[in-house]
Amino acid sequence: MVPDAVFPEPLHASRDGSAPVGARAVRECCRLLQTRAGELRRIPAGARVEKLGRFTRRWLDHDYPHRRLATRRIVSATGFSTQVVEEGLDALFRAWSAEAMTALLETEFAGALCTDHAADSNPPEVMVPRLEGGARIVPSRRNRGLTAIPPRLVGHILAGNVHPPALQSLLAALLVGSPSFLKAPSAEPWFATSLVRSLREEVPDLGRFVAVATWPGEQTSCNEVLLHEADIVVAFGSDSTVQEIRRMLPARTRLVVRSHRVSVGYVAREVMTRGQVPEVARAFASDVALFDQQGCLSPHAILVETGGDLEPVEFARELAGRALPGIARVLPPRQLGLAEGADLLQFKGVQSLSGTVLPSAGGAVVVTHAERISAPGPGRTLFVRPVATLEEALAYLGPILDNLQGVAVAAGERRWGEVARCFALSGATRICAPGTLQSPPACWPGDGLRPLGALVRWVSLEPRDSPPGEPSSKR
Amino acid sequence: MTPTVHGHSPIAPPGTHQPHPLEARLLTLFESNGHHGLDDRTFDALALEVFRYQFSCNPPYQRFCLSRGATLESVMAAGRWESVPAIPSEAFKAAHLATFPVTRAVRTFRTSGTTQGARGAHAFVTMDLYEAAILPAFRRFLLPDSAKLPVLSLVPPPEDTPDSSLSYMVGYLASRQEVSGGHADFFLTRDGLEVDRLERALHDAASSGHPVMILTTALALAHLLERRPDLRARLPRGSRMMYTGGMKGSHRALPYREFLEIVERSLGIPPTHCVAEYGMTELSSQMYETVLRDTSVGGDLSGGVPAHAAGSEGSAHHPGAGDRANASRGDVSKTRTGEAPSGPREAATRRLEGPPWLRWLVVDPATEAPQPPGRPGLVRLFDLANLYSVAAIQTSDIGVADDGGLILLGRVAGAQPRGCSLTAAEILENGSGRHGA
Repeated sequence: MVPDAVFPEPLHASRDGSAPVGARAVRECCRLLQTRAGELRRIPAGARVEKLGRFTRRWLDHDYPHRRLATRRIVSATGFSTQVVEEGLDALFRAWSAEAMTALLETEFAGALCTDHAADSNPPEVMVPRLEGGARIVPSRRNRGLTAIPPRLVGHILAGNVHPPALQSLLAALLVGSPSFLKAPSAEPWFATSLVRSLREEVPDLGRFVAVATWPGEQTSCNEVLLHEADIVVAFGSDSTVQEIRRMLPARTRLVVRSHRVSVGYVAREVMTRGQVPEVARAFASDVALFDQQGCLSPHAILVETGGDLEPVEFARELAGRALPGIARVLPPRQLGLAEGADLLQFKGVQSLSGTVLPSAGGAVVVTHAERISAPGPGRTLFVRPVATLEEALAYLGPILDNLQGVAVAAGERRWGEVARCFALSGATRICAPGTLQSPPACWPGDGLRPLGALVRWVSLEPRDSPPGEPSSKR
Repeated sequence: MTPTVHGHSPIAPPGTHQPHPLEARLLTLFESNGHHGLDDRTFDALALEVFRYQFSCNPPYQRFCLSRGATLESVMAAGRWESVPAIPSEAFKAAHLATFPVTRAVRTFRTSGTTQGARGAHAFVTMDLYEAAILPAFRRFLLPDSAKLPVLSLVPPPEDTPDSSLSYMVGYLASRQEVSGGHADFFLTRDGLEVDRLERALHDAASSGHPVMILTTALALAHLLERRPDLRARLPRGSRMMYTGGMKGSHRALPYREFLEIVERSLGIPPTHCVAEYGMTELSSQMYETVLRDTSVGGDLSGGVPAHAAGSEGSAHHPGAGDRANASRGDVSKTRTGEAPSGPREAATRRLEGPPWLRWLVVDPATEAPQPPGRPGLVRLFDLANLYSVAAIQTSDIGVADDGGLILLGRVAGAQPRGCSLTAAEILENGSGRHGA
């Protein structure tokens, strides 16, 4: 079954979910949203934040009907346990509080976002031609005239069955003041649909700037329309998915790519003590448990330094023997089907020829000395790789450095900066503490891109009377 | 630990094989017992002897056993073949799983290449056991009437594909008087499928009145039928076909029953005379559908084709138009590389059996405990003919035990849900990229 398309009225498209959404309906919907862009910009950023904050707070209530329905459907579509989905939703909506969104706007724009609303900005220094809707662009003093212009329509092509990206992408677009069309993933279309429905109900004056629909991947006509109508396309998915989108995209349309990525952990020798290892292992276990190793922030390998009080294999034993079974009682693992069960058996068998396989709840911990990281197994499976130096760690991670997302670092105060810098320079987009991998803050630049900054166009608004060669002399 | 194989120097060249004492016992068994069962006690005793030898002389296998907490003593004490640790078939990609050094291999069969990179390799220090295991089972399930039939092979000859276990097997069968009467022809060569010559041979056979035996992969047959959609060869009664291998990814996958109907329409071979073979590079013995043997019980196998069966109705079916939606279940899929010959419903009467020295189990992937009959699980095999590699093999094939036979359900393709994490295939692909070089 496919959820109804949720289009801004007065469009009507297969409300009963029986007929697939057609290219014409998608085009009409996109155009309607574009005409509303000015209207959205006229809502002050502060008001948008307040409304969206109300919306995300609502979703923190486990009994909120939209959340209950979404949880049930995500569980059924993905096989994640209910507890995992609930925990994931809590972390997600907590991170996007009104306070976090205010801070995010301030961090990224420092008042330089064009909102067409005088209340949002400092007194204008520059008068510029009026934009649609009759309001003015008001550049901020603090940004030396640099002003961010939101696109008229953001097309989000969502993928996969891990749900945070849908919310992050939608909220980012609304925060900058852009209407959004979400193409929900066919594997799990329910979360995006529930989000939009609930937005309509909770904050109808923002809900009218958002549409969601899903269609089968082979229905390329709808994709083509969306790619042609949107000013910016945010595309999630594998390299091949993104390549296909790139192929269809008009040359001048900006593409924000959110590709498949992988995360790791790093444990420095100074924390390899009998006192600290259980705590570190517990923290990593929760990173593994949330989304059952299917998220881009899921740690597929933990690099553990040798030379501490305990050996890396003892860390692995703690992880496999206590931490993962412990977290499995709170956040039960996905049930693996026959095919995944077969893959896990094969994976463990092959790994046992060269490493130490420690079976664990819903997967296994493999202590490996392989030169390069290899493909992970299904379920809660990860590698523990003893390393003597950071260089050795980077060499091991070589095949995935281009796709590195988060690195959870457990290190003493003195070493932390060194380890963090090393991974930051090597491709990571997030350095954090173990146990927090799956709850990134709203300001996290996933895939190395600013959540809001990646969406806007920048314009330099210079004083009308600045003399040649001194464009900023008055500031 | 260094393998000490019958006191040989590890650098002894190929061809200086000195058989383990078990080899002679097994050869005798294969030759004398192809049509009879092997009681549990005898099988267990032989299996444990084989295990003792493999545990001692196959270092990666020993390491695998020990990693699971299985020692020589604990397995021997359990006293049953089911307790012998089964090595996952993927391990043949990762290690030289043999009781002899790789330099002494006289032949190595390899699995077909996949997107997952490495090919599995099964090395042989002698072909005697392999060859001895082929014939009894083949005759039991393909030639229960002791017919000698000229072979038309759509499998490449072994000299063209020396690392293919299927080619080796077909080449061996074609060369045997008691199978082919010395008449065999190969139509798939390095130059591709010789469609014209094959079509002539089929029509010649049809007009000669002498039945023939087609040995083919499902894919080669699909190629033929795609090139000759109007083929209507009425092969003489008693003609039969052994087919194996898959059509997945060829855009020619089609439902099992439809496949059999097309074969009957195009070649005149009825479903009762189409026998799927289940073999693996990692095995030495093969399993077959019992349909022809069961048909032959008290019957005359030459009574095959009803007169109306060939070319009497409808337009030719084009295999390329096969229902791709059925590609993951119920299609004619890989049997030699380990996928199923049939879907659950169609397979209800198409059970597989093997020779007495090959036993199988269906296990729960989580607990590895045997599944009760009727409940799907993963197929595990114990092949005594794998004396010099590993006898206990854990496959990724999904099967179900049914009335003493095995029904293969295939692999559930694409079952693993996708998140935004880099997938296994993507990591492997990256491994060959600039960072992984």
